[in-house]
Amino acid sequence: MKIKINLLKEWFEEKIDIYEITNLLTKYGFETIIEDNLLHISVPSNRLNAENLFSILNELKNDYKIINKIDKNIITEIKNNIKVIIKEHEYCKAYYYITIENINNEIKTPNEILEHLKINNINSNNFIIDITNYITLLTGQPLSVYDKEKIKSVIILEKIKKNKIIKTINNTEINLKKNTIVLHDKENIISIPGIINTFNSKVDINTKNILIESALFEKNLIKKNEKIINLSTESSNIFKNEINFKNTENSLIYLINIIKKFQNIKNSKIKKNVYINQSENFKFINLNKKYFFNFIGNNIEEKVLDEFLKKINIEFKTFKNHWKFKIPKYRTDIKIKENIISEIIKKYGYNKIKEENFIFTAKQPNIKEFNEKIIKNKIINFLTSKGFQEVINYTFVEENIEKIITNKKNLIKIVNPMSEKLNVLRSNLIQGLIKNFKFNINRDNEKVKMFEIGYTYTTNIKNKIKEEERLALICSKDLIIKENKDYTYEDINFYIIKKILENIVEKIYKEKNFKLIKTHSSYLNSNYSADIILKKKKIGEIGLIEKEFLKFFEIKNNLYFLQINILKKKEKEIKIEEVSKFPKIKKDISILVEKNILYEEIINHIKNLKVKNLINIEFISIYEKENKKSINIKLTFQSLKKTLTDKITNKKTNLILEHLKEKLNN
Amino acid sequence: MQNKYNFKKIMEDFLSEINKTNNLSDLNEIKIRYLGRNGIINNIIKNIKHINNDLKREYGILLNDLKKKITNCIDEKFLNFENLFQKEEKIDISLPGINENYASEHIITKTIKEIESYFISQNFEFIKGKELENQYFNFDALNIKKDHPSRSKNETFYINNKILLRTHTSNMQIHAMKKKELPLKIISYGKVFRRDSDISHTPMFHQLEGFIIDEKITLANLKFIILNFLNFFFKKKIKINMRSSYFPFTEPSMEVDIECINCLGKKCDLCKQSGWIEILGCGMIHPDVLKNCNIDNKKYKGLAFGIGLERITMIRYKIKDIKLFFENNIEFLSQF
Repeated sequence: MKIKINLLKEWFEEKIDIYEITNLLTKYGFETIIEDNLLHISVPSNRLNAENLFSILNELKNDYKIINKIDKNIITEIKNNIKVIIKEHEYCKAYYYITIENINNEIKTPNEILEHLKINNINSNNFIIDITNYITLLTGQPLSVYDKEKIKSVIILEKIKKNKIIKTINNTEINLKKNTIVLHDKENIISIPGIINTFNSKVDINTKNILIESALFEKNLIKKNEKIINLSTESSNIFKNEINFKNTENSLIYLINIIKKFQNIKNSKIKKNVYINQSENFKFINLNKKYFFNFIGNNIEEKVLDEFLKKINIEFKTFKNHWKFKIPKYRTDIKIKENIISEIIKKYGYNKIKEENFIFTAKQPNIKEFNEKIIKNKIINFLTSKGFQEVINYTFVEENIEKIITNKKNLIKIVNPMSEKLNVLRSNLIQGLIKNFKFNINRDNEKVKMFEIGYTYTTNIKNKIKEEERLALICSKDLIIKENKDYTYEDINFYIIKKILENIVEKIYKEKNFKLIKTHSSYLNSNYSADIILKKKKIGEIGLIEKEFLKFFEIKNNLYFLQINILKKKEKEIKIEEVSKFPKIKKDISILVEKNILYEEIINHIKNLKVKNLINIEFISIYEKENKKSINIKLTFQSLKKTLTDKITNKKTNLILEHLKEKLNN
Repeated sequence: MQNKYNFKKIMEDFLSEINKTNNLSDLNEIKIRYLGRNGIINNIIKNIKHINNDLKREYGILLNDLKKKITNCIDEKFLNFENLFQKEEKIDISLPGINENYASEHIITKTIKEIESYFISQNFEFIKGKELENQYFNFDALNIKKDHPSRSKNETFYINNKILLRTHTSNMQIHAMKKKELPLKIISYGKVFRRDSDISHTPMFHQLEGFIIDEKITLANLKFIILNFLNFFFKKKIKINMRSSYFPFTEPSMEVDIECINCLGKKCDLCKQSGWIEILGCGMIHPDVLKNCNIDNKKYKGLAFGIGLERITMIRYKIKDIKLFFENNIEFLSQF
């Protein structure tokens, strides 16, 4: 709620420091800020019925002297001749009304009233309606205004016996089913209690005599009726949060006090129909003293504590070992001991609580989580040292682009997205990275290499959502070394990214046998890309992003992409291989084959021979011409037991060459 | 024996040429001319393929010998050039280095690691979070009633009636309480999602949550943990303001402010004229939440705290716009 500082000041006997008030309210849980001569007071969501001036003043009444502006001595000159019969008094615990005659409803609402309504977003209507709205803002009690002349002799709260159609004050027609509980007079329904009045007893600028109702309608009546008429109003929303009964009668008195400030009116006494069972209106909560001190962990002298107990505005009695609190019904936020503890400490001040250390037994660390973090940290350190910047993107992405990536109809849609560009869960990290690239290129940050580690989502055959943590990186061609004489191809960037992949899988994941196989992809160029396979499962993809796909982002650059699942596994035991003291002998061999023979085929043939003492096969260079290619390989031989001779190594080399000749028909 | 190839002459020619070279590029040219694919040596090899075995063998030996001598000569010459280069060539040592710049992890990742390592050193156990959650773990078990405004479609992202994108890391409290043995001392962090977007809010952000459940946990213990953490994070003894607040899953609930880093408490626009900046929320775990996880709330008590990671990072580095964290502008990210 908002209130003009000058208006607030009128309620305090002494001059107040508005900053002090702000701090105090904030301390008590009502976050308050000062802006443009107004105080903005936020009410916590468990105290919604405190969103009115009287409740706020109540919170401060033990710290400041609050002026009581309610003058109960109002002159009563007219008679209440409208009888009130509450037939459903489980739904209405109290009904008060007052009547006013000779009111001039044509006059302009006074400025101070208008201002207060405006800053609290209430529209102005006419004098009397504005004033009643003003009173409601101040007290938290909804009031209902009727044209007294239109109410025929009696007001009854009861169920209607058959279906009826009514027109509300907003001229809307509503069908009411039989048994709906309404307020009606001798002839017509005058209102849906606590929600909205009907058209026939509407008050306008010409109205001279009015009846104002202030009642306690129960929450369940309001909810029931809201459902039936499919409508909720300012008034009904207030009723759903329980009302402080003390204000129900006082609001009417204060209303008269205010109106009389601006014009001469004649008013009646306040008619009361009250059905409150006092015992229902309170509940008791016991708080054991030892429990309290153990809970907060500080010993506070009881004398000191007593001072603050008195400040909490709740009646209590002190016993030897406990306190007994009498909680009024409208304090719906107080249900258990801890709520009382909260009220007490709030006033005492959390800042006064002395912090205390405590002993906690040490626990075994969670090994599984630990290992996963080690792997992720290694990946981050590795990539950052290679100049890749880590980025973080939203988990939700654009559906139109995602449709191309997954090619599936099972996109995981967000029912209520914030925008069309963020309306499905990402199944792949590529969308975010390309957008980051574009963002940076547009700002002339051209040297862009980025990676992200995050979750992606897919649905499996059973329509269950699967969550997979992945790493992806993106890199533009211009950042990679341009020339390399060891590879015959013009564009060797694929192999540079492949080296990164090899380092991750072989050195960080410690998995030796991953494979690449060519595949069709809707977003990677089929000549320059592959799926990454480990243990017969696809764990990722690598390659040049398809130019057609990049058109969606209006990007023309050559972009390389790598994506791989974060493997969740135990850290493998490393098996150390003995390092020989004897010298290595290296032999270069050159193999000329048909172009379609893959490098790995050659290597596999060599490996399959299982030549003893062959400790390494190293790729040196490749040269392609026409339909043949020449691959240079260095073989390294070494023995654990002795120095190998040239004769032996030559023999082994020839063995290998002969074997290759045979297998490759070369 | 007819010596078709005068290996001696070839060697002499080579030696005279190489002695004349005084730069690397000439030396390279000689190397290619003699030892290259189409070089002198290789051409001879190609030609002697077709002659008879005896002569071929003899030529072979001589050729190998020649090749070896030429190769050694060239290698030595290269080495000489290198030594010369290092002794005589003056280089401008102030020129920048070559190859990659060391990039960095995202500032949020860095902040998380720092805070996590602190809590691990205080004996907290880390558990990984789930981004997709169901209504029970995200709301119901945390005592958030069905009509609470945060459950509405205006504030939470839903995938369907049961599954949603989690709105806070507090869901992990429930997971931990249901699966693990007491006592518990746990932290968890990760992405959370709320349907909100302005200068200080994005639809996705990061939170870190910590909680302890044990037999004798008190409010004073909670304050101890918070104070010590904040002193660690801001690297000095920090002045805090702890005040009443409301969360459905803690009672009492508090919010903690630190003295405004901009005006040091003297009031300014950053702290909205209050002198304080809100930094985290905390409280004693509501007994109903413990009960929902079948924990005897008479025997056990809990404390919990939650930190908005973007927020605490923005405060530390005086960053004004939260969107900077997700735009991923290299100029911004590389500063950390």
